[in-house]
Amino acid sequence: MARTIMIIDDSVSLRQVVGIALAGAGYEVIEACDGQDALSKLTGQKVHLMVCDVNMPNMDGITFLKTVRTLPAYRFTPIIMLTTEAGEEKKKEGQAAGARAWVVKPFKPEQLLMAVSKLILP
Amino acid sequence: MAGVLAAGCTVAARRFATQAPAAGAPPAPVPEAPAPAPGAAPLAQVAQAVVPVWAGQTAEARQQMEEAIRGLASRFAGMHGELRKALDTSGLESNRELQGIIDRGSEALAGVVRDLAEGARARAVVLEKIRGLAAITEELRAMSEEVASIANQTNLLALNAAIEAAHARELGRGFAVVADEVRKLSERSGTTGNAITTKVAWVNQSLLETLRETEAFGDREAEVIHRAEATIHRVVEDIQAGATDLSGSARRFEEAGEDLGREISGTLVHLQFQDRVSQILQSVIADMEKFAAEVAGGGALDAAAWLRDLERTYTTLEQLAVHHGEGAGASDESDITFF
Repeated sequence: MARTIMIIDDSVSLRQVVGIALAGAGYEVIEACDGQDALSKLTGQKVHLMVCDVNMPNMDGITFLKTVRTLPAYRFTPIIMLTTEAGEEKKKEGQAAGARAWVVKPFKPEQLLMAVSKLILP
Repeated sequence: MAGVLAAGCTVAARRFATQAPAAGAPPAPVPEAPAPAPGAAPLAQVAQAVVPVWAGQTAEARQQMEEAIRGLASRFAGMHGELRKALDTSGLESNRELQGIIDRGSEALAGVVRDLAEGARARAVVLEKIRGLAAITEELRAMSEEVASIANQTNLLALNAAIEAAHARELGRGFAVVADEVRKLSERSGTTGNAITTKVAWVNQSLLETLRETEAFGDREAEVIHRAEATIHRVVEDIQAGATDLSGSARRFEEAGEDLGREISGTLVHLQFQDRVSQILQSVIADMEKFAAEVAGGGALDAAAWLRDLERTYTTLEQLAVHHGEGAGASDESDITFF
């Protein structure tokens, strides 16, 4: 059965690019346009991994990360932050909030897939 | 097959949403210049009037770029999806299935030929038995001739016995009766022997005719089997050649499709620049508006502090590089850190 990955990004084109890369590798993809939208879509179903932007309206990626870690079903779901933010401070903030990897855009699909395959849980 | 589930976000909310219009929405009107503060310097008046226009124009450019890129990305994504579907349905897998069908058909037809050959072999065995029967009937004919010959000899013997009985006159009367009976028996034996010879000859003739017909049929059957084998071989070869051509075309199509898919994926990846450009422009717009507000306020401006504050708003390495006069272009490599 295909693994499910949630993409959380306010950029439609970015979601499409990530979606194509992941779907091409056999993953099932769920999209959300910001942290709030993602939380509304996380209703207890199995999500094997999340790819999340940092700068988003309504609820940014770090706040989402902190919130989702309080939900029992998603406490240990690996989350990759995919962002233009390259600053060390932000990275540390992401790490402290529970991110498992920090990928700075622009990403190459094969690099993202490598990170996904390294982190995704069976 | 895995796919992309419904996005649920019809319009992506914009970063720095307080300033920029959402995609698809009409462009943000350029704010009218507020009345200059009493005693404001001419620079402030110009800043108040011009900066909102700059900001508006930049926001408009950014919005147009975003909409265009989104449209492009959607079209490329659609092309990519259609291509993937086409490749899925016309892939080499179906050619392998076709090859499997040909192999199975060929094997089934070869089985039919084997069955026919097996039938021919069974008929050859029957033929051999018929030949054996023909030989036996020949023996029977010889035996019946022997019976006829014995009957003749017996008849001659009976005649001689009758003559000798006549010479013996009254004493040979009884012997004459026996000799007559022997003669009658020899006649009946001769008649039966002749009848057997006739029947054996008829059976032998029938067997020989059956043998000839069966041999002729066997020859025709061997010819039919040979022709069937040749026809099956030729048809399978034709189908095989067609399938090979088809497979080659499908493989070339698949390779071309995969090349095209990679090109589209590469193009989509390059469209990521929009996300970075959008953030850079948002940062510039926010700073221009801050500048206009500060100038209008008439307060003293500290360039160094201003630059420090501006630097803190950056999210990309290019922004920092440009800020420090290094003018770095966008990086092609993603930086991955695992925690």
